Amino acid sequence: MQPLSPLAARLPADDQEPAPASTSRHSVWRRLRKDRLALAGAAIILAFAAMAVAAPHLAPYDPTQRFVNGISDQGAPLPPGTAGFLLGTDTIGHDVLSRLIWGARVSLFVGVLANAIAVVIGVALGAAAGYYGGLVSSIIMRFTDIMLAFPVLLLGVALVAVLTPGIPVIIAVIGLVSWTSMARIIHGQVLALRERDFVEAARATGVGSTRILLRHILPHLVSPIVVYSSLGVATAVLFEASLSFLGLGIQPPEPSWGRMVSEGAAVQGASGFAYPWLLLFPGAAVFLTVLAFNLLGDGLRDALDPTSR
Amino acid sequence: MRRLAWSVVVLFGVIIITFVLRYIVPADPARIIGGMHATPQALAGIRRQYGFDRPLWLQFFDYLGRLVHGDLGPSLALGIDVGPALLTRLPFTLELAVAGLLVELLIGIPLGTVAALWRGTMADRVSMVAALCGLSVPSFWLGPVLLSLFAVHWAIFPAGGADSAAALVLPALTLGLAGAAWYSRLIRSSLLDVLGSDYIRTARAKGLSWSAVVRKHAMRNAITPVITQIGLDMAYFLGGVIVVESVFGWPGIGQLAALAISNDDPNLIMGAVLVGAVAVVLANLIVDITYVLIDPRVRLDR
Repeated sequence: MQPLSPLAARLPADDQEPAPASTSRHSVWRRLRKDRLALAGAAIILAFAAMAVAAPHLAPYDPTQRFVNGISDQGAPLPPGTAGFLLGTDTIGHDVLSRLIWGARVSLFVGVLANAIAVVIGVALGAAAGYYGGLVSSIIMRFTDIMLAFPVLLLGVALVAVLTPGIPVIIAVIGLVSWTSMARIIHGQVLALRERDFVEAARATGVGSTRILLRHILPHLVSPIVVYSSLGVATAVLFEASLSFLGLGIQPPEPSWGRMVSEGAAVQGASGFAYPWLLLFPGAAVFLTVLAFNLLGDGLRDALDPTSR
Repeated sequence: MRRLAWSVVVLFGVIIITFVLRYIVPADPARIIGGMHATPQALAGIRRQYGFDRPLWLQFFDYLGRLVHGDLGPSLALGIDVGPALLTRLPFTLELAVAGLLVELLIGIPLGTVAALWRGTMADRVSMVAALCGLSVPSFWLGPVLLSLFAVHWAIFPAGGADSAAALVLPALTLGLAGAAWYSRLIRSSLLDVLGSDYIRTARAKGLSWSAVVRKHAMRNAITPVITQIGLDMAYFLGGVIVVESVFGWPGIGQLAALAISNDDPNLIMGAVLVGAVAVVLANLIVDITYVLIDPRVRLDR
């Protein structure tokens, strides 16, 4: 199953060294530009983002509108290419293309925000654990271990089911269960950064701990945060789509790619492929979005630390 | 030994959190158990029976006591007890998890090894891109597609249930494909790291053939991150089975959890979460023990 992109759910080594000096913005940019896969990922993301932003103008129809002429005389959905419905309709008469376009809004919105929450929690906890060490670190990292024991999708499902499904709840829940990988990474990074000269110098001049953290250490955390955010958004998008597939996500009639897949799967009928477009298009949308963020994240990681290839 | 003690602590933490979760819900716990249509008398009775009117820490001990007896509460919608229901289905989920793990290892390790050994070639790049794609495919998409293709359209595999070994194939593939992709990348980077190290070069200098070097020395060391990963996999699987078991009608815990969702059965869901977390902790413990057995250095270190 892939409720979560394993890339972000799996934990890298705790003791990863912070990026070496060859990370001047110029050289990073140059390396990134040469990475065709990462560029492809970025392009796909931009396309989906544009689609999401321009949805009201881009979509041919209202995604929740049921067309009387959207269903054939036998009650079946119309295939792609039928007059007026570029990608066909579903069993209720909605236009698939419009639902796909509006679905991008939901997926990207939820994905980015949920990841933002996970990043904030993860960085806060990880940095605190790494910098302050001692009891604070023990408590935080042990708490992280406990959270890791919970199967993430199961926990997310449980939380959303127990509270009522709705966009804010979903965003909060996904964020609340996804912060562990970021916390671990940042913990390792801060542990290493703490020993560096500039931190010693700052401490020697009497700069307070919190200030050191914020002004001196945080800037060095930007690159891992960016890399793992990209992967984190991929995870979050997959998570939201899985929740929607299970019926816990965005509720009807609002469109959501995950639910479109579940609705599509339910009507395939005895031949197994009665209405393939209902299954293929939304699934492809999720797949491409997740792939794009993974490609970008991978490319960023290679650009920021070329020794890792 | 330390690992064992630590696992107990984690387990305890898991139980505490699961307990707490019931109370963060902005709903009356008695109503959750009694259902939407329970009368005030019924609710009062439930409160007394479960001790909801008692102080929180006493309730926690009650909870612990019930847990020890395997009592996870009643399942509203299904009218059965959560504990036994989950327990009877657990073997099925475990079977699926093991099958999924086999898929991951049997596809992922060879793929990653080949990519590492033929590093930089087209084969390497193609397989790594394929791996990235495999990671990104949603299982709730892959499942129905595989089902439609291989079980309905071409009736090669059974369309559901757990009646035969063949029924295991499609769900295991769906569950394991993403993990296989992950493992292939993992073993590729791990193997590349190992191959660059000194003792490998020494072995080659001594005249050992490449294949012997890889087989005898490199793989053994490259495999350790994979083993660590297996422990983490359990957490991922237990989430994944919700989708995969629903799609394929596999009678495991995941399917029960999905049912609990549609039936609005919080007790059952929470029970599933608890069982899931316990399984994860145990799986990690097993992995740690295996680790110690395989690599004597770890024993000394710890």
